Amino acid sequence: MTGPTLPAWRQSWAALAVSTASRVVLGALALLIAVSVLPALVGWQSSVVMSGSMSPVFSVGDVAVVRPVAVSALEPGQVLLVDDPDVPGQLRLHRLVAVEDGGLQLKGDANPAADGSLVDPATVHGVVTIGLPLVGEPAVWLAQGRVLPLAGTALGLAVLLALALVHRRPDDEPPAGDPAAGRAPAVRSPRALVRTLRRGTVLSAVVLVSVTLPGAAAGFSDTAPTPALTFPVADWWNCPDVAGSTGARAARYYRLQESRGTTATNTGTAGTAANGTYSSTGVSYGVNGPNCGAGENDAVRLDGSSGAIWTTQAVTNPQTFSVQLWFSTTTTRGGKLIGFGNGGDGSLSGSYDRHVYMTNTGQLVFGVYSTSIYTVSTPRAYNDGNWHLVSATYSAGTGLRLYVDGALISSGAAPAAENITGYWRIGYDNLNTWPSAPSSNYFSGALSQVGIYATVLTATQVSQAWAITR
Amino acid sequence: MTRVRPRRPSRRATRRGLVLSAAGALALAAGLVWQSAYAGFTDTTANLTASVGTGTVVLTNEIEGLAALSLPDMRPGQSFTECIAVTYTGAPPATVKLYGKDRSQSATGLTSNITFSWTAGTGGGVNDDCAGFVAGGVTTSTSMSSFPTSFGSGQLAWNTNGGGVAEKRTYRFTYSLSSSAPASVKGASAAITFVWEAQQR
Repeated sequence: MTGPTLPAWRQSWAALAVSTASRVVLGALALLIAVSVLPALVGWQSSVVMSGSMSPVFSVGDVAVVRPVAVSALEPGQVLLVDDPDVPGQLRLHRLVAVEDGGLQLKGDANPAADGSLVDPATVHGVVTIGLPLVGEPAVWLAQGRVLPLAGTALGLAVLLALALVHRRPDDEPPAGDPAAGRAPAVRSPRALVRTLRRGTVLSAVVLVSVTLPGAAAGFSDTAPTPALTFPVADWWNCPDVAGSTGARAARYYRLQESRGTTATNTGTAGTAANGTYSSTGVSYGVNGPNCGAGENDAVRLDGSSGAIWTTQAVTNPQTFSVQLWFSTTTTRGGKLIGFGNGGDGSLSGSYDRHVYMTNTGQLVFGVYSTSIYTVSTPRAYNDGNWHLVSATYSAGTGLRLYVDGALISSGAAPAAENITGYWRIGYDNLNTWPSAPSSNYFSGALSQVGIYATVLTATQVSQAWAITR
Repeated sequence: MTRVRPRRPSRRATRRGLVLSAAGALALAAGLVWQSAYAGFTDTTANLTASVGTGTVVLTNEIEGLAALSLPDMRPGQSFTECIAVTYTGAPPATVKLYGKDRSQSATGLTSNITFSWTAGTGGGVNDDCAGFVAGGVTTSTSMSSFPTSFGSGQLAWNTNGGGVAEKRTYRFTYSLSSSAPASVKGASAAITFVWEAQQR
């Protein structure tokens, strides 16, 4: 086979040097690609790094070759390729920082915080064993749709290939079909051209294989957690809850939520034996009450002339007690809100004290009797039509304390309460001879949530009872 | 006596060139592989410290890092509202989502009786104050028991532009206790940690 004489420059030392250098680069590239692809034959896996969250160890375009690893062999510090716990179908390449009960805690080296989601150990593809710089860059460009660098790389490869083939010796024409690589093909015959094209295709295919490696979207990420937030539920949801709280359990508690008479049910510890009785006339049921919580917002209205509530369970000489109730009135004739007397079945008592009553001008008075009358009273009037909480406590040690709307208004000493056996009375009873006694013994107004305690309510308990309605 | 260097490389020199390029390619490839293998990923301690530099994603909220917060007592039917600002400062564009972690309750059924409503918007958010808040989208309403617990199912996805410029968003948070909550949850409490997570997109 004869042909045109080879140009002299292609047989020169310079041509040999250039070709050798180009072959070094091409060969290295081929080896790198082989290293990134061949481990698949033994079940390893390669992945192109698609983001910089593992920098500086991994940069975008690097290829990580991972080796399958047993779950028991996982150790913090290893870089793992895992299924992305947040984005189905994607891979994530991050460093294992902790093995926790719920899974593996991973973190990108360049991320300020660990990943938010734990990783199921079953989704670990392997631990990174080999890192290949920049080989996967074409995959990144392809994923980003950047044609220019892809074309540039192809061009660069073509140039390298051409340079690798520059040097030739005159007696170097190989027989047709000789696959020896690195030998310069002659561009003189169609057969040689086909051979060159075939080799170029093989090289491109190898490059393409590297391009089709799955990308691991390592992904920059950060988390901004709040502190642990605690959502507490109140101990008390309504007015009766307050009365039932530890240490202040009412013996008698009349919610006054009835829709008809004549029983005012006692929900306190004394039980139904201490139920109250509504008078047969003068009581309106189910009127609007204070804001005491769902199912507790009703009240009864007494008419100021015959409406009253009494109890029939006798109580012997209580010397420590508290009474508490809600009222709303605009009356100018006063009346007894609550008290203790010896009159049975709601009749007028001959002996009576431990009572809270309203004067004609709307002030509240709380007092006990022990050879003489002891009282405390409020400077301001409360017959303003609003709902008010009045709380009155007594013991010989703590004396008389009168609270309105959760706040202590007045207090004073008293040696004892009258030594009688009697009944608790609501809305009516005798007030004869007491200071500023009102025109009416009957109270005209609405009442709700009446509690009678065998203890002295504390200021805290009183203010909590008020707060429940705010 | 000096040897005259031939004008052209001999057949032997050419063959040496081929061997040299094969060896050189192997050395270059091996060097690159080994160099990167030593770069850190076989090390169990190196590079565990986060380096916050350009290209990273930084997400903050104003109450991050505070001690645990206990909110006011709730009664059935009551609701409370707070606002919180979240700032993204990162180079890459990212998606920010909200989810919860470390959820707990001291009485069975409490978390299913607490409802969380979140609205994203702008303005407000200073010291949890909602003054000036302007809603900028939908409101999600989820019971605490079914509140998402991972980025994948996170709420109120927010696509940031990146570029290292601080981007701020305010979130209005309303929580309430169901008016039909059972008495068994009186005095109980539930807890959760909210997490905003930014992931590069």
